[in-house]
Amino acid sequence: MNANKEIEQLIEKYFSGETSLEEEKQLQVFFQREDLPAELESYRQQILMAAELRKVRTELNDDDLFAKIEEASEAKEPKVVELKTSWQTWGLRVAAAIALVLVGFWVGERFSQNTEVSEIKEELALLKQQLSSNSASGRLQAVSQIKHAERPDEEMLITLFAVMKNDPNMHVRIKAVEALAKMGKQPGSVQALTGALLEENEPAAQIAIIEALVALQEKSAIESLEKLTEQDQVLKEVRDEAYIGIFKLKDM
Amino acid sequence: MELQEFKTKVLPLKDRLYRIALAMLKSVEEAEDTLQDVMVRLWDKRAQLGEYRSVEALAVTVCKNRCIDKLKSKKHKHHEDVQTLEVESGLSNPYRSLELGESMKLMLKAFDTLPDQQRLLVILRDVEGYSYEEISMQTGLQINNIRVGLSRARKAAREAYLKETEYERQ
Repeated sequence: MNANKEIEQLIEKYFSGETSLEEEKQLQVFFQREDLPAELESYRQQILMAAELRKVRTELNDDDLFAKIEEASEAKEPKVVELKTSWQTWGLRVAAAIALVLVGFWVGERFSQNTEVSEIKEELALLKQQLSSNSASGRLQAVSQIKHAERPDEEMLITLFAVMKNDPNMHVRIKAVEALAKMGKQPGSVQALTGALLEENEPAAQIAIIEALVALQEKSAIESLEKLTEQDQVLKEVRDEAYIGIFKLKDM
Repeated sequence: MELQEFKTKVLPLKDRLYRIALAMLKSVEEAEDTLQDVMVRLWDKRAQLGEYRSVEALAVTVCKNRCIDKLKSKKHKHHEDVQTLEVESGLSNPYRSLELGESMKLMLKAFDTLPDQQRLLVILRDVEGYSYEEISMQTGLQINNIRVGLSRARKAAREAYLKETEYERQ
């Protein structure tokens, strides 16, 4: 009788989410017995369900999983073939490689800089022209076409900041956020993103900004993310995303 | 993180991740698909994996997020109705690998009716036995909300189960 009382109390705690892992184990052991008091019978399946589900195993073995991993990474990078060679031939190869790289740099330096700068200029002019277009799809296309994401110049950044903040169309704003994320850390981009985060009302755009801040591994964004989670009018999913973002950033 | 470490630290999580995906997506095929996808993502991140305090928490987070994405896009395509039909007719029983008594089948049926988030919490806590701190890291939820969510899930599961057994008896 006394023992039953104890179990009944445990059950009550279990249903109010207050049991410890230890107590939950106790329940699982107790409900395995054959001679359950009738009044507790109705709890049996629920308590034992956990043990039942724990038996589930995937039929995929490690090789299956690795096959998929290889498939995915092969699509991304060419295979490296290892050759067995003596160290002398290696020495020669290294020397040849260094020489090649040096020549490459010298040639590249002379030609690429100018063309790249002019390409960026051209791109920027086109971007600005298209951004003044009235159609959202035109503006969307403009932002999607930014190619020189690795080395943006200041004007390009400022243009993107403005689009992210002011464009009336959510998809265009999101594209701008994604373009900024692709550029990596740039002067001013973190402030612009956190600023936009607190002004943005569209959940999808808010989530895009959170993802961008996480992608940039910007720990200083944690404060803004925390601010966002405190705002009740912000959609729950967005706040969850912000929590996850905070967790990831703190963990980096 | 190198191949060997990946094999000893990440791959052994596959059953746990699979169970989470199965409970969320209610389909063996989709759970397997998600598991492979999660492994590919973790492999892609292997360079940074060492920096995470808990690789396991990260793996669960990635898995959970993939499931939520799938559930969202499914709702988009109105696939869910079809799937519920399939589940009810036993066509795609997610737990077909288990030998279950009639009452346990009813219990799992009741469990399947819980909202996504509640199923997730039950799997993480009752099945996988994670602490509240761990679940908080995995889901981004605060511990208090996890307790409240679990309490609701357990009560709702009981109610649904009692309803199912009553229905069977009639």
